[in-house]
Amino acid sequence: MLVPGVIVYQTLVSVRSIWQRRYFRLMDFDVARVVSCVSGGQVDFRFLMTLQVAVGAVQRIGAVPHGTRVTAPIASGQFQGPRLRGKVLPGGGDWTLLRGDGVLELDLRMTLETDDGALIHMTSFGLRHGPPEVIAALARGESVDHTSYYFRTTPRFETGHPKYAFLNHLVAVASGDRRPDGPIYTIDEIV
Amino acid sequence: MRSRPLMTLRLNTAPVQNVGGAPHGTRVTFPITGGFFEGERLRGKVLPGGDDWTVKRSDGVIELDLRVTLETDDGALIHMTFEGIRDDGAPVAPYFRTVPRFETAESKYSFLNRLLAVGVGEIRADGPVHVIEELL
Repeated sequence: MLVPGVIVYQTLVSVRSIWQRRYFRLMDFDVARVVSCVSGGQVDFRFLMTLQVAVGAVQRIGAVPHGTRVTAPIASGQFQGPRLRGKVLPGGGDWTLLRGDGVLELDLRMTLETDDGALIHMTSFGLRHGPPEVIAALARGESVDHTSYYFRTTPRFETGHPKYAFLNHLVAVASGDRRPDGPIYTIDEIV
Repeated sequence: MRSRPLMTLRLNTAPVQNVGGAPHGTRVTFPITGGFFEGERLRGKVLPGGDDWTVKRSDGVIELDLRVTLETDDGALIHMTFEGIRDDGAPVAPYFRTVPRFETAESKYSFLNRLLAVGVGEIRADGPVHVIEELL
């Protein structure tokens, strides 16, 4: 019973493989179009946590080869979600670079500590930009509606704690809200 | 988070370069020989010469680190990179997700300089296909 089953399966795989090779060769662009139609706008996200960060006095490095560099040390913070919660340890920072085209690049590194004592290394790259008057208001430390500018990041996590190992296996995205005393991120896992 | 379609990217790869056991895991490099991308706002081909520098970690997850150059059908060059992970042992289905970034000097496509994106990948018979969406 088993051996004929394997032969049938391998034959099917082989036929499918030949068919796919021919199909791709003949219809390069059509395949892309079909995939795009089927999957368009359908990436799924699942809430991971809200992260609030308090930044200390910023360090204005100034004009550097790639733009204007300002480093924001992280003083404290907290995070909360269905699967993890805890606090941000002091010592991290957000190494920001204002590019010549007005886009602010964010490069964050910090350590999270869960309420049951696990340490999580978190990094994220992000972009922030918006209308000049909105960015100016942010720079003055005013509260601004976070939907009036673009503030998105892509967090990554590393941990050695088995309970939180799922974080090592996911890619995440975040939407930011720059408050006067520091940013609040809503972080979603890409499902 | 909301997103909207940016492009579907198909990559053609040459035989892999098995670099072997390295400090961070098993390093395998996938040379990119070409490919195509298509979306409502841009379409064109992938130039040969890029690669995906992958590392398979001890927990089975493959970390991706890709760099390629795209050429649009009207001649603009776009520098594209992504990081991401491929976890063939994920509980429900293989997990193959990336966060692409773009740089271009062409004003028609400068919107790419200002966005972050996510990609959902799938391995096909002759190479990976990435459905890439812009984070709104």
